[in-house]
Amino acid sequence: MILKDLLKQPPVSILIQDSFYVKGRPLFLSLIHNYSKNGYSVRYFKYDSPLSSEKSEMEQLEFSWQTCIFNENQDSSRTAIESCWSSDLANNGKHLVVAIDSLSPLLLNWTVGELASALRNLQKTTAVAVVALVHGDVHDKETVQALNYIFHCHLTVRKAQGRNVCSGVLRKGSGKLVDSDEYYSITDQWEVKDVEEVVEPSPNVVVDSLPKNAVPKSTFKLDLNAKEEEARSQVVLPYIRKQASSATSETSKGQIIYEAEAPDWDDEDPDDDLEI
Amino acid sequence: MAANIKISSFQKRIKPSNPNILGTKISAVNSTLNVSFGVTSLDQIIDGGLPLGSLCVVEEDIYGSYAKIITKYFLAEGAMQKNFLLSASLNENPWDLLNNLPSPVTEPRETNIIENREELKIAWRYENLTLEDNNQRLGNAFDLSIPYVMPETQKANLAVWGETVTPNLQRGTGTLKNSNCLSLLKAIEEAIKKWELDSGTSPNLLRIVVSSFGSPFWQFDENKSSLSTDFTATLLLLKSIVRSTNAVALVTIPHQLLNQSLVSRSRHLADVVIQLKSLREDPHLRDLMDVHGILELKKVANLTSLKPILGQDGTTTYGFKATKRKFKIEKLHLPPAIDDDKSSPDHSSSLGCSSAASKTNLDF
Repeated sequence: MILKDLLKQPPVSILIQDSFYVKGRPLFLSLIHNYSKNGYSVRYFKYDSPLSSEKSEMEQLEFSWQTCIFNENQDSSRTAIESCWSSDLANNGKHLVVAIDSLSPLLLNWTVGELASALRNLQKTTAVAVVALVHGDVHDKETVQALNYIFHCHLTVRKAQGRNVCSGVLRKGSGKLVDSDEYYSITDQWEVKDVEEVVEPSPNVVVDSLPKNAVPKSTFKLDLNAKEEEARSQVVLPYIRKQASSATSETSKGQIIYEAEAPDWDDEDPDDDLEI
Repeated sequence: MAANIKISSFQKRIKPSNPNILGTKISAVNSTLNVSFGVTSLDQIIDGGLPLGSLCVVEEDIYGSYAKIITKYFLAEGAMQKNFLLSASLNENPWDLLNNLPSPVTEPRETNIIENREELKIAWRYENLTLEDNNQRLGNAFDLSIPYVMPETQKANLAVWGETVTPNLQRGTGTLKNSNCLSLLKAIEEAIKKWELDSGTSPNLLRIVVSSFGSPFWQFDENKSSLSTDFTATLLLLKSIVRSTNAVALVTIPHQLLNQSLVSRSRHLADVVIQLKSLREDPHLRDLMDVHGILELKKVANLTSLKPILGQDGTTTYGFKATKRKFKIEKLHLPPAIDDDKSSPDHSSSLGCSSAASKTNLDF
């Protein structure tokens, strides 16, 4: 129950991976809304689209946000962006959440290694939890694998049976890996609710293709119909009879019963009929 | 008559002047000095441990958690033997690894006091000896859940290399371009010089552990053209450093993230290659329920002869079990094939020829 626990516990670094079919931004926004409601200060960086398009939404969410978009006027070098992230970090010592929406534009210009060290530098000064969104279908497999390596917790959103499902993998400090699959839904107030575990409906018990009397496919009729089966089960077998008779005390140890027969000693000379 | 003419070629055997190096054992198979891994079951497989002066590459399981346990054991064994330790990591603070080593556990020795022992009439020489299995304790046993508190005197034997230690990195201009690699090799050389391990007469050795070499944090992808040379050149240089000094290196690589050719090159380069695979990576392994993963010895090089180490012909697969306290390696075996009697009671009566009345087992 990773998502459920994430909503209750202090923030950790999370990577949310979505795709074209299922948008991960609602979950992303509601997670950071949850953190800001719980008293952690959130700094939100929007790289995907200009801030103005969703201004009212942002205002509703009420956390300090910034935007550093790549355009010609602004310095899009790595150091500038990093300094953007780490400015004003030396504050009250509370847990800080840096929300990055999303990593995909950054990855178009940076390598994963640079991103990794930038994130590492961010965490040097204070305890910062980075919540990042990334569009998994935009990048190649190696990049996504490397990103999964960097972040300890990743959530993938997908749709199953018409509902939103969040599959999570959490790597704990001790090295243990926890998997989970949960349904979730987002309200208008950006709250996550209805988090329940996905229970796969157990498939209808498939009748074993090998029935009790396994009959190989052939042109011969090897089945028994009901009457024949009944007759077959009525057959009393010899050892059963014996077992019934020696039921109680006789331990059925193997016995060799030998009766000494008359010695087989023939006086005749077997070579008699030879005519040499 | 000159005093020193040698008449015969007889040479008196004198004790070798080299002092015994701490933490090593002479191998019975090929007289190399072997450095224990810390995991006794692993030592038993690899002839007592890593040969001194070799490079061991551990191909990590996904996210590297089990490989981390092996490195912890390796360092813990070094701490017990009072070796020098160098931990290099970009994934996390390297001091974290050194501060969380498993602490040694002394297994309670069974004092085999035999009561009412008969007087040994024939083997009377053995009467006073205790019954002790000499082969049992080849090394130390560790408990992973208790972090080892290192005595202060030993803290001088530690060195680290990591992001926190080397802030400003310059790109190299020679063959090796990656600045992280350059700085790592430099730090290793400095440690060796500081502790005088290259003099040939040092009684101690250095255990080098490089965690997750090749992960994104190392920034090998910064310069695509030099990626392959940087990776392999660093390993090669590391190997040459440990060969010429009293050192042994354990490097873990996240092989799922790397190009297959790089992984193959590192396999060719290293002396010992161990691959860890956890159960979640391979769905076929789900049947092996009592182990947590598979350990494969991809390569065990014999440094002193052409013959492979006894028993390592690649046919044995080992599994590992990692509990909260221990890490153990054992030979794999399939679980016993017990018939899953899933059939409901009404089916059983028509199973084969049995009398309808009794459900006793058939008695032959």
